[in-house]
Amino acid sequence: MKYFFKVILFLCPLFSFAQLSLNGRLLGSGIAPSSNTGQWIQKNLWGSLQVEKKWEFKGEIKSQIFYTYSDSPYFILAKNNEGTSSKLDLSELEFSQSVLNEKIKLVAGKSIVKWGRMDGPSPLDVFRTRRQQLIHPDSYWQDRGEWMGQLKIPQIFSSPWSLNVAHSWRGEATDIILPKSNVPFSLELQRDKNESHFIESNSRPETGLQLTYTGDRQDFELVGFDGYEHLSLLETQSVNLLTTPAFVYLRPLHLKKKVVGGSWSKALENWVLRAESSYVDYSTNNYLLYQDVSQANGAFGVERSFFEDLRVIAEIHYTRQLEFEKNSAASDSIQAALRLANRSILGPLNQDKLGLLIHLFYSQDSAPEWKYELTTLSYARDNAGVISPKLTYEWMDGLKSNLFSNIYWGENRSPLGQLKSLNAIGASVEYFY
Amino acid sequence: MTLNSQAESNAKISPEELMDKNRLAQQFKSLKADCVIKTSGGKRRPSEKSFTWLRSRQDNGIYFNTLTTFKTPAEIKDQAILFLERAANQNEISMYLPAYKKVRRVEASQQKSSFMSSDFSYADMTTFQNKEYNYTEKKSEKCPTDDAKTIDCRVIEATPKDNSTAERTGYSRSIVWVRVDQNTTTQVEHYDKDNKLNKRLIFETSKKMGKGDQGQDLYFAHHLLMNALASEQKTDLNFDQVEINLPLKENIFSLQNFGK
Repeated sequence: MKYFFKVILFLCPLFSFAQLSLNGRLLGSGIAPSSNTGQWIQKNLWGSLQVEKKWEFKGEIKSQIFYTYSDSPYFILAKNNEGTSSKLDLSELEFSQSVLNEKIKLVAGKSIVKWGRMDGPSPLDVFRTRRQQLIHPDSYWQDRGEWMGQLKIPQIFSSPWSLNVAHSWRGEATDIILPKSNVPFSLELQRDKNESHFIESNSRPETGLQLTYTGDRQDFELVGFDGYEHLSLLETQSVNLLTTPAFVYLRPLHLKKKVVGGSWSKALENWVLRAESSYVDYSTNNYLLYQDVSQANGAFGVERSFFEDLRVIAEIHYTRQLEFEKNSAASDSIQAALRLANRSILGPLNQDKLGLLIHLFYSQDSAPEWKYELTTLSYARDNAGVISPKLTYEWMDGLKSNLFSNIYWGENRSPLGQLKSLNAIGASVEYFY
Repeated sequence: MTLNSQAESNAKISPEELMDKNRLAQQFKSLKADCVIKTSGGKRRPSEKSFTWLRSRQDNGIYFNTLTTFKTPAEIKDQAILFLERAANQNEISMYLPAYKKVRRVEASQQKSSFMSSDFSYADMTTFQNKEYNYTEKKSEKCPTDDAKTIDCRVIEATPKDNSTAERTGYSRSIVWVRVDQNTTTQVEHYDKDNKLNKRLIFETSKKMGKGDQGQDLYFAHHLLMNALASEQKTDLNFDQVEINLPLKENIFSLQNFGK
């Protein structure tokens, strides 16, 4: 591994830009048996490399190599440990060319990794909840490995409105970093045992539209798309109609969904206000027993600076499960069994959620090489949360190191509380060329 | 008018008229430059950033739109900051974060904070708005900067007309040295809200760039040096490949154009 990074460092000057990140866990447990289906594995060593070459002429061509390495997956099945996970993409390509006139732009190609994406969460991304991110296809259209085309009109008839229409073409969506669990693994589900499970997901819009209004000191955005949510999902295969399901499977699935949403922000004298909302509707899917799930999300937050050096972001978000158990295609008895199954397996997910996120960022103008961050996320319902302090020191332009920690608390069955044994301290080094 | 006669004329006009001429001497329709900003001194580690600078005068003829797009270091590549100047301290400043394709707005009270970890503030990077200040003449003397030591300067004190200007800039008053041969600024001393000398900005390598709308000579200082006196830090801002009055399209300076 170290030879690989040495070679890459040697090759960096060949590229326009390069970014290398190497992370390690210093203290803390590495395993959390979260459920009867598998274990959370804390990574010991993980890293990523992103290099970019850019050619400019009338349009622009960018090519990137993106490599990620991890010595263990985030989550493994009890009998299906795939061990080291890594992925190398050599074919990322984006082609951009202005056509028709300068006011309309077409972007086509295999979507490219956003520059600096692996540089941890930004204040803005911390601000958004995971669900809220789903309504922002601009972020997700940049997922790697999808061929896509976008039509962009930065200003419609010189108005404050801009339009972005995109369509992606792909075969089956693929998991990027997490190991795939293609081989179903069955185990007995204990009745009345109400387990909680993280279900990893990525949003994969196929066709989407984004309309943005930008005015003086405020803007808003409307987004709608039709696509998929890529899930690592628990599935009930064999059902006893009168009791609980007998077996469950964990496998990747693509859940069809429609999303509409909007966001708004306004800058005041001392504050920046933001609000977001979305409606997500999952369509019937043959693989899924909990069908026609829909939910509404809302978030409101504020940003403000104190004493010029301290920036504070606070956000309240709320998720309302609107429909969770409907299965119109099945008989009444099957529906009754499915409701029971859903409650057993996915019960903790079938909860309205009220969360609070606070992010503090401190850096003095007189010593900008030091950066201090503290992020907390907590949920009122299960009294669970996580606090993540991070300290960054920039040694020189292009080289910085981080010391970070994740400390979880809460009930064992809650999504964050189940990770308590993964409390850890880690360190990382990042190099930019 | 010869330089000498212009200098004689400028030595007699009121401070307000002088500052108006000072504004006209930098009244480009548009400007493009490659910039390097270096910070050093104090306890801070030296650092260097490069960016392209596009500036265009708005239709009102007074205010400017400015777009800075960073090239290096790689960590901030393609990060952009858009300054849209407005009347009555309503300047709008937005920052584009390419990694997230999101725009972060900079609230008004934050505009006195550091511009990209330098000793310039966001407010320093916008145009000095004459109408927002009252002027009194302090004295006349030889210009204090090295490249204009033999030139006469008039020393003008600019005091904000209302608190919102002082709040936005963080300066309770500024002393401006205007060289009478060019009507250009050679040095500015900014005082903080406690009336303590806070920063000293020096304009160097002033070059004649052509003629303005009213036939006036246009000048541009290719090197700015900001000294933060309390922290003993300094920031050098160098302009290279400066071109003026280019046909820059208005939509370049729009949030919608960020990252497009």
